[in-house]
Amino acid sequence: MASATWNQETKHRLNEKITSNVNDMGSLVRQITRGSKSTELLAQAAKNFASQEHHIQGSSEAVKKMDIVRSQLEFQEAAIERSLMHLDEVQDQLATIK
Amino acid sequence: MGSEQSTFPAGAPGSTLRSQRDEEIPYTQFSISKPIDSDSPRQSPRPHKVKQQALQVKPSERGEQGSSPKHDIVVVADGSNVVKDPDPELTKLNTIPSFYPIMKGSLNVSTSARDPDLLDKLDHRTLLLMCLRYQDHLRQLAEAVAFDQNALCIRIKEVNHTIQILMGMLNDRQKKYHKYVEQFQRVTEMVTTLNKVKATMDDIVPCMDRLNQLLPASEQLETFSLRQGSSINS
Repeated sequence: MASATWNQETKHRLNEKITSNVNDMGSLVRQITRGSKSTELLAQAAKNFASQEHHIQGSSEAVKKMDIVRSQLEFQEAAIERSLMHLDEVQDQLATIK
Repeated sequence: MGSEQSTFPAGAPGSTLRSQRDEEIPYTQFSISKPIDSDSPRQSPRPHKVKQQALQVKPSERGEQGSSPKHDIVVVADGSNVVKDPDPELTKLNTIPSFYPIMKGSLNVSTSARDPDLLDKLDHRTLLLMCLRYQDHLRQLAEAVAFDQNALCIRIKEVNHTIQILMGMLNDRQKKYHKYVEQFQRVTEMVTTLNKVKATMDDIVPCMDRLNQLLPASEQLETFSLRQGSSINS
């Protein structure tokens, strides 16, 4: 590589050759990535997934409401148990009266 | 100060630089006094006063003066001058490690020393096939990912639908149980009512008995009781 006649013109030509090579490789790779429509497919998939967001939000809110309803059912169950015990007392009293 | 003195030429009275020429060159008396071309004896070429005086001195003294520091050789030290880089781009190019290109046959190698495995030309068809294969590979990967994502979307919709149905069922059940609770609370009301009735009865029955006893025997009623078969006549 060490040449005595390493002057501006050789450098310029080498520069041009290297530039053209790099540009060719760039266009080749761009053709490959465009030809396989990978970016487009992936972008479409991401958009679809993102559009499910409101479904997911609705599901999570429904689950929270179900939790509240469950606690309400617990209260109701306790009330019914108490009423059942009172029912037993009432039946006893009616029996004594009769 | 030192630079001023160094600008004077060597040998001048004010300079500190002394070169070999300025020292006493050991001319012998014989060569000075009897030159080859038999001209008149010439003086020493150096117009040095000490030298003219030394000519009249005995040679032994000249020898003593010969050992004086004027005969020492001064060597000019080679300064560490940085050789300027004539071409920085060339230097940078030379720092790149050398490597072989893909087609080693494109380098100028003699035919006798040529390795038969060396590539000389590249088949464009195989290169095209390799690029197409890579393209196809990328497409398959993207399709697999997109397929999985779409399957996840469908599952999300199904799960959402199921959750909505469950929510509805739970709400219906909750309403039903609310009605049951209301009905059962009527039982509690009945209990309280019964207790009130019992208390009142406990209050009233002794009074009624006393009143009954106050009545004449013919009009006395039977003992008040809630039992079946008993008739309460006013």
